[in-house]
Amino acid sequence: MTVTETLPSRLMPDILQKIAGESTLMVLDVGFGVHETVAHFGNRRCKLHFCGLPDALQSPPTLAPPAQKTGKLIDESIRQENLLTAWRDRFRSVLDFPEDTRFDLCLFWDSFNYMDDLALKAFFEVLHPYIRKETLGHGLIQLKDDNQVMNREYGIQAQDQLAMRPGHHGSLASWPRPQARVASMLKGFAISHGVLRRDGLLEVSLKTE
Amino acid sequence: MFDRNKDKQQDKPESSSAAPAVESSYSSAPRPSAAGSSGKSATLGATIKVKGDISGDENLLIEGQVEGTVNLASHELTVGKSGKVHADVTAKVIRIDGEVHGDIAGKEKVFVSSTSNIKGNIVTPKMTLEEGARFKGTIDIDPGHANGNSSVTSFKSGTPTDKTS
Repeated sequence: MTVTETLPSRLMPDILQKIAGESTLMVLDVGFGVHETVAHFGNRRCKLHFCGLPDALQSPPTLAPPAQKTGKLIDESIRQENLLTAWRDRFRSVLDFPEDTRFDLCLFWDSFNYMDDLALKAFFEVLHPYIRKETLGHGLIQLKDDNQVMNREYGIQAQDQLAMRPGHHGSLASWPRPQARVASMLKGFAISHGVLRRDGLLEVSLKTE
Repeated sequence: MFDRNKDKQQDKPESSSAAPAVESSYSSAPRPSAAGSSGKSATLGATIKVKGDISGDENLLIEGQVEGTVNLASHELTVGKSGKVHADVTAKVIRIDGEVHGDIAGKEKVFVSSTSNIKGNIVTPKMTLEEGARFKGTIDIDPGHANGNSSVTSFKSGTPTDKTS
């Protein structure tokens, strides 16, 4: 039986309070819908978008390596650009919302940590059209290697509590990074507050720049 | 085509605690209440395949396969564990234990169990995701719109309530 843990959150109460007045709350959860999150928002007018990002990260795009066969030199920057384009295409199918969608809240959970720099940059570029001036976000940044904090699924248990249980994406690699490096790749967002949790994850609240 | 199980309680409409016969083999997890106003319920058995539109004036349990649409606007629809519905579905109350690929409009309530497999969007005033269930898609919840005109079309073109910058 899956064990669900309850984790305290220092930053979620402020985030939820700021969006409480929205008439129709638009929420993006990059993970899967879990019953805690649905129950939390279920008593108010809202649209909850669960995009199941871990599924899209299972097999990263790769580029065909024709260089050796044709004898052409491949510029690494071109290769990187092609890979970035491939990631953008991948995420366009994941973030496939009506054009006029603008989110009030983006729940990124620990998704930053399962994307390399290119993927992370591409994800936020594709997301950018769907955020607005007052969009808020929440995430958990992995600062150093630690298997204990990987492969988790999160939900909102209460204003100040997160539900956490083992995830279904144990095969994904992780990319621990300093806060500043992560922040530099979150197009449209800036980190407004950060709290280092006991488990070593940095809980961050985000606001649009 | 349908295995029609007239509810034994149909002569006793006040007896709301009695479950229809088609539900007797199910788990004890929450599910739509007993038969609707018509007092009837039908089962589409596990070996039955339907291509086309299903509508009716009684509750329906689908254990077979359906491609098309299902519209039970005033009644309850249950997609059983073996049910495979590749269709847009509309009903007053919807419970999903099996597979639904399509948009789901529950005019009163939608219950998604942990055994479900859904690809599509949900519109309903009241939504319950069972513990252990994982859902990918959009859920449009409007508690003040119970028994209203929940429509899945709002997902396809955006709605006036969507936020714009």
